[in-house]
Amino acid sequence: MQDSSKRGTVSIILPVYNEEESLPVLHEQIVQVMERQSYDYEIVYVDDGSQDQTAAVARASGARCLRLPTNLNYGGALQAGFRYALRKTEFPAFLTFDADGQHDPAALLSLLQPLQEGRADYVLGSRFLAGQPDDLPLARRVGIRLFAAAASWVLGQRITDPTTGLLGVSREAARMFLSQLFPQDYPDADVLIMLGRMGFRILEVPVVMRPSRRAGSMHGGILRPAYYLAKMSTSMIHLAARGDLLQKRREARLVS
Amino acid sequence: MSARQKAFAIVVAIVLILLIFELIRRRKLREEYALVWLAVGFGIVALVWAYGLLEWLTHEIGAIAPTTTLFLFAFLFLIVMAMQFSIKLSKLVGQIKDLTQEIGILRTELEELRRGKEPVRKKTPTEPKGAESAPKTKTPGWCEGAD
Repeated sequence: MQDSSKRGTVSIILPVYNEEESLPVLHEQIVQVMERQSYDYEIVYVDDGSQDQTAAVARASGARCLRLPTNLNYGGALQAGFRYALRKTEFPAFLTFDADGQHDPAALLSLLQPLQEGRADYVLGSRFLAGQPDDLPLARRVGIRLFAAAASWVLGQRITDPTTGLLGVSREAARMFLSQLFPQDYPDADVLIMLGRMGFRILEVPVVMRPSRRAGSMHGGILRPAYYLAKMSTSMIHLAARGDLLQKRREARLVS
Repeated sequence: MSARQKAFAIVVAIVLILLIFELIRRRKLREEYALVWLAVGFGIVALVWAYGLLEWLTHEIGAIAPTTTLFLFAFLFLIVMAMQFSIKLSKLVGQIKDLTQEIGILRTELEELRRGKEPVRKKTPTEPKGAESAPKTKTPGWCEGAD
């Protein structure tokens, strides 16, 4: 794990989809925040098959832009970003960030610090630790609390926001993102359980979140949350029950 | 089972078997799926030809009419086929995802090679300003806009 006295590099991975209008402002905000810390950094936008000029805008900003030929959904795009960043660099740390306006770029520093100090392998930005008013829709709130309780029980530590998209990931933990176990559509609480069962150190830090700009979020409507609930529950049970996850981590260490 | 029913069932089975062989010949049906359908075709012929076998099977599963047996096994067969397709589909989705990611990465590498760029924002205070090797933090070193 990176010693805080040494200079390192961090890759910020952002899956984006049809964000041509908001991306320039977001990019500047991220740059301003990252300039305040001592790490070299790069921004990797993963254009998940956008139908607008998102990729062009991303490239014009000076960042890397991985352009997928077709939409893979959030999990597939995120995995593509990690696959790219791991292959192209030897960076010790990675951060993930959503481009829908929900995440405050200042939170990136909160995620980075525990990684720099070697205190954790997987850092989650929790809106609940920050004491934010809980203004989420009821279905979403119930789902998060349910999964938080399940994750806390499986991992033996308190987890408050298992579905957050604000993540700090060490290089070794990031390699696990490339396994076939990594879910393509809603990677959150199940990934947390997977990494926890693999023995990675998990830490939550308080972050402030804003309402999403998108009119209908990933979990809007009725059918989608029901599908999300069923799918996530199945995935969590499957990963919690697997006895070979630690072995998979050891195997990944030997191969790399 | 009357002679007419037997004849009809055998004709249907033979037509099915011939159709499968033709689809294999035209490379429209993979062998792994053809085997299952061939088993169905030959199975129908066997059960109709040896009607006693169908009666015995009917008795063994606790059914009354042989047609019930046929419908039951047809239903089970469809479930097995649906399961096989779900398994195959799951594998294909994973493969498509991997291919899509690889294509995206290769395309980006190609574009980066063409532009010869270095994306990491270096924070090296000792480097002189305007050095070509150190990309500026504000002004991108390679952004020439969209393709």
